[in-house]
Amino acid sequence: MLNKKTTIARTGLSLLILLALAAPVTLAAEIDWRKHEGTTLNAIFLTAAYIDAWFRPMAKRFQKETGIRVKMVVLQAGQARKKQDIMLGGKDDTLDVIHLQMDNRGGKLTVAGHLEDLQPYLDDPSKTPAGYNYPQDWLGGCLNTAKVIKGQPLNNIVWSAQAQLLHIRTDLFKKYNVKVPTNLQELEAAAKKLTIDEDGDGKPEIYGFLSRGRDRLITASFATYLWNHGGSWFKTVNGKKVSNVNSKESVDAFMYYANLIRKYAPPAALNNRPPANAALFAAGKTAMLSELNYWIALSEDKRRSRVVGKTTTILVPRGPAGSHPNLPTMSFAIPKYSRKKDAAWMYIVWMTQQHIMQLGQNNSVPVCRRSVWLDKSFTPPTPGWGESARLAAEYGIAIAKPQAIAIGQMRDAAGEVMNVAVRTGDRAAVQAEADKQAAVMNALIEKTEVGMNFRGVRPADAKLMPESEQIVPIKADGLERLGR
Amino acid sequence: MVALRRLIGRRAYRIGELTFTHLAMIAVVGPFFFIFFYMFWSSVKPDYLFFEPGVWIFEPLLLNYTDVIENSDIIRNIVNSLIISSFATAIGLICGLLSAYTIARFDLRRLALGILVTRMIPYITMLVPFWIVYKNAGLLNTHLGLILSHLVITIPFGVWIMIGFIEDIPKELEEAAWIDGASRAVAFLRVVLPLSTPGMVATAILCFIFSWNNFQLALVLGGFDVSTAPVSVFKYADPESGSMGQMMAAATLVTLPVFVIVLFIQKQLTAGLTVGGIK
Repeated sequence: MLNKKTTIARTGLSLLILLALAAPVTLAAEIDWRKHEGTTLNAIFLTAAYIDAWFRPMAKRFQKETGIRVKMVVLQAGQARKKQDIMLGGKDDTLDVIHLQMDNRGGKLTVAGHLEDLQPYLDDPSKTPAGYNYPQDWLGGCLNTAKVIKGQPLNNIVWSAQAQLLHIRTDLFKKYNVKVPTNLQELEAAAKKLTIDEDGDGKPEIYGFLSRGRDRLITASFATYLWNHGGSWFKTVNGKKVSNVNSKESVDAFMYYANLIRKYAPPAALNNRPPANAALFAAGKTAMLSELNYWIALSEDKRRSRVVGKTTTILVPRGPAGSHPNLPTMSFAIPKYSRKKDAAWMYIVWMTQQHIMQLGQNNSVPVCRRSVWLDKSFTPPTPGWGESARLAAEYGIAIAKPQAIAIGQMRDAAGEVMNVAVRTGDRAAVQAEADKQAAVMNALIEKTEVGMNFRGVRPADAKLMPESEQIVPIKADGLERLGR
Repeated sequence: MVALRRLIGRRAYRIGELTFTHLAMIAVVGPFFFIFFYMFWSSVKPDYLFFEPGVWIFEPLLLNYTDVIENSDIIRNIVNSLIISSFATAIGLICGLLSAYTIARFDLRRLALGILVTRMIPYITMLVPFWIVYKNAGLLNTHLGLILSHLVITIPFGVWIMIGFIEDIPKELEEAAWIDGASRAVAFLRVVLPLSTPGMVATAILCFIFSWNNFQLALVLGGFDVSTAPVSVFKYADPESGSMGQMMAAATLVTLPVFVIVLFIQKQLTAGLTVGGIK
C-alpha cells in the first residue's frame, strides 16, 4: 500500500517536474529571430509602386531585427517571370524567395513542382510565431488565390489584395450632380455626363472613363466587367474545361467595356499602360479610372497629382450577374531548390506578421490580413477606398486572369476579342472573333493541360457579395445622395 | 549654280549656302536631339504635366532622380555597365582588328561569313544554353561572365566593321615597310594600326553602345550582385511601376554616361581622320 502511495507520489512528482520542464519550452516556442544571422537571401520581385515605398525599407528593418540580408532584384513582370523560369527550370539553388501572382504563374509553377510545401513550416512552432494566425486572419478573396489547382499543397503565402476598383473624381460628381454608379447602366450614364467638352471644340477637356484598352493587358481590368455580366473565361462542359469567351454574356461584357472605351475614354487608353492611365487620372483628365486600388497613392500624392483630396474609390458597379471584384493578389513562395529555405521562410513570416502588414496597409499597400483592416491605426486615404478595398478583398474573385498553363496565349486571345470590340463596336464581328479565339483557347487547353484540374474562377468556398454591400463605399464618403 | 552666284553675288550666295546647310543639318539631327531633350525635360516635370506636352514652363523637380537613385541599384549598375562594356569593347576591338587584318590580307571570306553567322543567331535562343554552361562554370552573376557574354556582340561586330577599314589601307604601304626591313608584326603596328585609328574609334563607339544597351544577357546571366544599367531602367517600364517621370529619369541617367563617352571619343575620331598617310 505504502509502495503504491510512494509510486503514485513519485509519478505525480515526476509529472510535475515534467510539466515544470515543459512549461518554459512552451513559453520558448516564440521563434528565435536571430537564428539565421549573417545569412543573405536572394529574392526576385515583380516591380510595383509599393516595392520601393515599402519593401525596401522593410528589408532594411528585417536585416536589423534578424541579421538576414535580402538582396532584392526588382524586374518588370515579364522579365522577372522569364528569369524565375530559367532559374527554377535549372534548379538554381541561389534563388531563395520569389514574389509571384498565383493567378498568373501559380498553376504552371505548381504543376512543375518548383515550389516548396509551406505547411510543415507553418505547423512548426519554432519557425512560425504562435500568433501568426494563418489562415484565420486572411481575407476570403485572398485565400481563394492561394490554391489554384485542386489538391495543390500550400506553396505560397498570399499577402496583397490589389483589387480592381473604380477611382472617381468626387469634385466632378458633386459639381455636375451626377449619381455615383451602383450598376453598369449608371456607370455608362455617369461616363457620358462627365465627358465634358467645355469649349465645344469637339475634344473633351475631361473624359468620363478610363481603363486599359488593348491586348492582353485588358484581362485584369476587364475581368470584373466580364463576371458582373455573367460571363467567364472558361466553363466546364461534361467535366471538361472549355473557353467561354464566346458565350452571350461574355460577348455582352466585351461590347459594354469596349463601348465605354470607345465613347468616353481618351484616345490614349488604346495604347496606355496602367501607370500612364493613372498619371492621366492624377493629371485631372478623366472623371473615372478603372484600375488597381493602390493607384490612389499616386492621385493623392501632392508632388505628383493635381487631384489631391478630390478622389475616392468605389466598387466597380454591379451587373446582371452581381458584383465580383477582380482581386489580383501577390504571394511569397520558396523555390524547392533553395539552400536557405528556413531563412527564406523567416523572411516570409516576418513580412506577413500583423504589425508589419499594418505598416504597409497604413501606406496604401492593401494587404490580406483581416485584422489590419480593422485596426484603429489604419486610416484609409479615403473612407470609400477603405470600404471598397476591404469588400473586394473579402468577396473578390482572386483568380482574375484566364487560368491556364498557356496563360500568356490565353490572355492574348482575350485581348484580340477586345481589340475587335473597341475597333468596330459591331456585335457580329465581336461574336465572330470570340468564336475564333475560343477555338484557339480550346486548342491550347487540349495541348497543354491534359490531366490538370484548375480550381476555376469562383471556387466553391468563395462567398458572393450581398447586393447591399455595393453602396457601402459610396455611403462612406457621403456621396449616396448625388444625382437625385 | 554659277549663274545663281553671279546673279546674287558671291557673299549672299555663301550666306545662303551656309544657311541651307545648317537648316538641313538641323532637320536631320534635330529630331534625334529633341527626343533626348524631351526625355530629360519630362524627367523634371511633375507627373501631372506629363500628358501636356505643350507646357514648357514649370518649376523643375529633381524628385524623380532622387527617387530613382535611392530606390534602385541604378548607380551600381551604371558602374557595372561601364566595367563590362569597356572590357567587352576593348577585347572585341583587339580581336576584331586582328581577325579583320587576317581575313582582309589572306582573303579568308568564308571565315568572315562564319563570324557573321554568329551575329544572325537570335540571343534569345542562346540564353538557356548560356545559362547552363555559366552555371556549371560558376560564371553566373559575375563581371567576367557578363564580359565574356558580351563578346558575342562585340567581336563579330568588330571584325565586320574593321574588315572594310583594313581593306582600304593600301597593301603597298605595308610592303614598303617590309622592304625597309620591318617584319609583318612591326609593319602592322607601325603602319596598319595608326591608319586604322578612325575605324577603330568608330568600331569602339558602336561596340560600346551595343554592349551598353544589351538587356537580355544581363537579365539572365547577371544576378543579385552583378547587373547592368538597362535592367535598372526596364524596371520602370513596367505596367505596374510607379511613375512616368521616374522612367524618364532612369532613362536619362543611363543615357548620360554613354552620351558623354561618345562625345569624348568622337573628338578622337575627328583627330584620327586628320592624321595618317592616305587621307
